[in-house]
Amino acid sequence: MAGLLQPLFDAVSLGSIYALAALGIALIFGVMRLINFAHGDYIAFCVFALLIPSTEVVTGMLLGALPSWLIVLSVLGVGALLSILSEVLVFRRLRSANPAVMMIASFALGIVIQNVLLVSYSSRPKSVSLWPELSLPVEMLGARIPLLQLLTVLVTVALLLGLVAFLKRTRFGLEMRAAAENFTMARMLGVRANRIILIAFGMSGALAGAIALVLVSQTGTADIRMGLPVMLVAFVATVIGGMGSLQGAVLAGFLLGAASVMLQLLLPLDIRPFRDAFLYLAVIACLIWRPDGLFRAGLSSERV
Amino acid sequence: MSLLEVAGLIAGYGGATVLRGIDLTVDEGETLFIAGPNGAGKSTLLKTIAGVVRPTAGSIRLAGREVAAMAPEAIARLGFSLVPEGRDSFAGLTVEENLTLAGGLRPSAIEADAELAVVYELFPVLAERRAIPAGLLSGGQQQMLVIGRALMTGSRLVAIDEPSLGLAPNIVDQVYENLAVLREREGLSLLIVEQSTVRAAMMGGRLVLLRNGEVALSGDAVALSQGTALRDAYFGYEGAA
Repeated sequence: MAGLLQPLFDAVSLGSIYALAALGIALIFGVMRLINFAHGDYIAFCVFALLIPSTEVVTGMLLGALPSWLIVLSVLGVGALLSILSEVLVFRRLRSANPAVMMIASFALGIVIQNVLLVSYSSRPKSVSLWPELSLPVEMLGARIPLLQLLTVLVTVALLLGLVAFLKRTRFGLEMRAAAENFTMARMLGVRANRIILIAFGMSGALAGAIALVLVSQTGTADIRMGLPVMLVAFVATVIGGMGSLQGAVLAGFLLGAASVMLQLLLPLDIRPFRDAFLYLAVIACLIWRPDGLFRAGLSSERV
Repeated sequence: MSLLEVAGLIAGYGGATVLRGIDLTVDEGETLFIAGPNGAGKSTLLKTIAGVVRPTAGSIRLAGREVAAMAPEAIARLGFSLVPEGRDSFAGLTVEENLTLAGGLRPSAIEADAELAVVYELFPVLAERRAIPAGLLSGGQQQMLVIGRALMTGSRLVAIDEPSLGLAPNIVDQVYENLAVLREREGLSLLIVEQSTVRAAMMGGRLVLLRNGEVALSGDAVALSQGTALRDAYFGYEGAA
């Protein structure tokens, strides 16, 4: 039992990060049909916002110097603001353009953000000691689980429940779900396009902030490219979850986390370094088996 | 003053012009049918009035206000509701969510709730199935849902694009009975795209025939359906009318 608990927690906490990132991407895709490749760079930007801009290896804390609850609030706020700014300055102007154009714009935006970080902080990774007390293990059912992992899972579950409540119980949530299904029809029923899109961008950016906090407290480093691998897996999760399906994105995020930990555990030692090859082979198999996504609801066709 | 006044309307997609100068009006409480062959611009006309397609020239006045450059949500707020072709309900939302979404156009939640009760009274089957996803409704029920949704918006002018498309004839009868009830009870103005001029004559109202993006003929639906002028105009015999 204790032997299984550790990998289970590894799987769920890795899956949590993927699920949160996939959700951030799916929220924007739902209302804009935009795959926002800058999402990973929002994550990196949020991490660096903790530090004072400096090209030295060691630098002082900026937002990181605040009390813990303010760190959380301000980092989520930075993420939301960055995301909202990119909508207002870039994506809004391209809204009627073809989806490929918007996708390229998001790539370009991501590179701009990376270079802003590069100029302000240099390319060397920096060590960040945020909440070191969280790496202490706690005893659970005979296993020693790092407190941080436990917290990651709890925070993710809380965020997901909060989001579900927002989507199911509030007016904005209803409008967002309608807009994700058919934006034009939603607008013809009075849903204000700009407002809904701004809310989606804000929520997506805040999720990037949450991932930033989890990543930086897990790794203890700030690296300009730290958001990219997460973004890549999350993007895969949104595709195999069924583009635009929020539940699908979350489930596929957890699935990818679990698959990745399981492969790590089960593969023979000498092929373990090639874990990702096996993971992505499984992804290809999924896509061939169900090209519309694993969790497509199947309600889109009309019954007569 | 007419509720809707369209004058010299020119619109299309990309480089292709579909509407080549449309003039028409709908008065308060009036029913106007729009007929015409495929590609005449019937759906484009409704989408242009709704703000989904941008006009290149001309004016659209809704209750006296120029709406030709407005966003769809702003036009909806001024009291125009479009039921598009193919009954675009939100398949993943429940029946009730579809209705309350549209109720957001009402000034208060109390008013929206009151209207919800009216819609449920009018279409009891929607009340029965309120908690299921709209995508699981039959075609006829979906047509009721989208008409109920238009009612929820509180619009004075409801446009319906081909209400009979893909429905069995007895269901179509039912749809038109419902529309007639709405016209009597709520005093709604209706703008209906309909291929069947017989239906138009049965329901009564004015009829406009579009051909090649222009108004080819207009007049009383009953009178037009009796003569040959409509058929001639439909098939484009020049000078026949």
